[in-house]
Amino acid sequence: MTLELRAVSIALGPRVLIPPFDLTVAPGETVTLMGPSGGGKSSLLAYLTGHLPPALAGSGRVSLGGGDITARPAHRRGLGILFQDDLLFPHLSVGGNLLFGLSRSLAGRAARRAAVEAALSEIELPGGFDRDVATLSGGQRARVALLRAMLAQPRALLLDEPFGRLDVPLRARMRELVWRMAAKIPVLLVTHDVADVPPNGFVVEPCIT
Amino acid sequence: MIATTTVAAGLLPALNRSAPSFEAWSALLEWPGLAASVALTLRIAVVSTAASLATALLLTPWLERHRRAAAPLLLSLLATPHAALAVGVSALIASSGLFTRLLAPLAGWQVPPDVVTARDPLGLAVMLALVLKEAAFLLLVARAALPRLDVAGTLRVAGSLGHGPARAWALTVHPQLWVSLKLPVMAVLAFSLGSADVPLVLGPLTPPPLAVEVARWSVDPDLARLLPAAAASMVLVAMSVIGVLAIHVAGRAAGTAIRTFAAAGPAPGGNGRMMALAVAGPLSAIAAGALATLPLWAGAASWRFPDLVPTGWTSTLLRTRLSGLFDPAVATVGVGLAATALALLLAVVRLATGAGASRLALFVLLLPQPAMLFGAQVLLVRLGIDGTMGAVLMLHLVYVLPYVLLALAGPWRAVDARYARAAAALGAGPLRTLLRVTLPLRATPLLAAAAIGFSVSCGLYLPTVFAGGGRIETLATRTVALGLGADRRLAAAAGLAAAALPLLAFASAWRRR
Repeated sequence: MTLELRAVSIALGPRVLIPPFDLTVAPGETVTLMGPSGGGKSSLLAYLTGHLPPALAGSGRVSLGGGDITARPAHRRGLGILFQDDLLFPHLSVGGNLLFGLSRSLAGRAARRAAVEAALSEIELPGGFDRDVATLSGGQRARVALLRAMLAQPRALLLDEPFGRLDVPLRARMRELVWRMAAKIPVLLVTHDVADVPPNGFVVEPCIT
Repeated sequence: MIATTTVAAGLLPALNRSAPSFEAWSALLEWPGLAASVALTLRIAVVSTAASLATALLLTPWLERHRRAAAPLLLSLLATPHAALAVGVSALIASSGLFTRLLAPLAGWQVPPDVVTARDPLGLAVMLALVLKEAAFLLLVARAALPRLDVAGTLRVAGSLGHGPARAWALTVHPQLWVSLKLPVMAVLAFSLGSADVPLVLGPLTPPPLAVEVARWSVDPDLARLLPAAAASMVLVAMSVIGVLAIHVAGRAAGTAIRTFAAAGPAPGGNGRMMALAVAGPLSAIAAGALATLPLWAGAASWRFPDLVPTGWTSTLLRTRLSGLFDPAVATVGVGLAATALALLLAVVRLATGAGASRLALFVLLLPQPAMLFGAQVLLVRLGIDGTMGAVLMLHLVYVLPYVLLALAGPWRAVDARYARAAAALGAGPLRTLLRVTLPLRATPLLAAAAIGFSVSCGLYLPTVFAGGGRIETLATRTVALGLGADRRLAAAAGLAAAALPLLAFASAWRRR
């Protein structure tokens, strides 16, 4: 399922942050957006997910698998997102966070819990279902946030500097995990660090104005 | 306000006044107590506001160090309705109060001394009660604002540059705090100008402050009294407008002075703890004493002067007196819960849609209560719903909503808006996001806002009088009515019941935070 951007642009009042540009991200492909701070990269992701702040103006067509999703409600776009802050819901346990996004097609409390527990083993957190998210380390939090995003079965994944807060060894492990878990869907990555760019990825700089 | 202005312009169809005239103003000017009442009103409002602000600023450093220890007394003061606190203060400072009883063995008093303490002509007792309540309110506003400022870091930097602790607070933290305190200070001024319950219990009554007289005229069977009431309401509005402008100008002048002091360079100096202790000690003792005397008086068979403890205190007497308050208690709880629920609903809808606190709702706080309530009463009469529970609920909602908005707006914004984005990216629709993420993440401020809203409603005196038309009685109105009487035991029982309900709300919100 390909993610396509056509003539997408972001403006702050009269100032154009990102001039109109086209982009196609195929399944299994990672495109990295780079550019200066305040250049509108994160705003572009907010436009794609339907959360652009009122102060900013976005335009252009966004489609996924050929279907136009530009005007769809945010929760029906099928776009997963990971932020620099993991944004785990602090009032829910690890399991509660993961169940929040788990597809409803998997019915039954026991089956849903079993699916989440199996997934937790994949990210080296077996038995962590009932843990309070406040007790997790930074690396564990990042892995749970990634797993939460992937359990929602997104059709494309947006990454907004997701490795920015991790130390160097953790960054490398986390990158590997992301590329492995999102190997079959389009990935759009915003980062400042060229080391984050995957081996088969390529870089665009739409934000130089 | 439009209705109040219309009547002040002489237009009152119920009295066949259909052309504008100065009749309302003439009637007001004919009142012999006008000058003294205006002077008393101004004195009470200015001194109470200035002293509350000074107390709050002086005690903020102490509050920052002792957040948890300060919470019980501050929350108790905030929860206790003005009228109930006034009854407690009266039981302390009256000539037969606890203070003179403590001094009686030394002074050899066998009967209460002939000194005017409560109901003094200068209104000092009213000011004392208002300062206790309003300083606590401002301190709680400061308590909510301080975590958003990097106080420790700011003080470390100022200290490293050679500024003493008290000077560092005054030059670096207080100016930042003023941004959050300015509107509440203006609200304190407007409230003090329009307060009637505290003056009715503690203030001089010949003449009383203007708000008390407006309330009397407004419920007078002689409809012609509505004319001077409207004019007096406009005088209160004018005083509030001038006061608000004065606070704005004073804030700017203080800013200039602070910049001048800061430009003069660092200077050592004390940490201000002694001065804070000198203020906090007596005020805390009076507040704790005022609250503690309520249950003592409420269950006393008798308490003769100069005894330090009541005679024949029994829980049976306490229960008997409290059970006589069942109907006003039910009305208080009913109106309080309904007004709080509606205010929370409106506030959540407003904040969840990305809007800030409504300016119109906050504007209500800058108007002295009688000024708006007078007009509201005229409208309620025209709608034919005055004296009903619905009318009381409507006016309570008008005053509960701004406090709920104020309590909720800051914490609402403090929660990262990207949680909602993350929820949407996980497939949650707006309603699921609201119920599963947005509201649970704000459970603590929602509970606190609910407790504040309920306590505001429990303490509302004038809105109940104006909307209820004497037919609906809450614990606040009963407390004031009994506070005017001679039996301190009944007044204390009503005050205790009036304080107990919001205290319970605060205690449960505090426990579940």
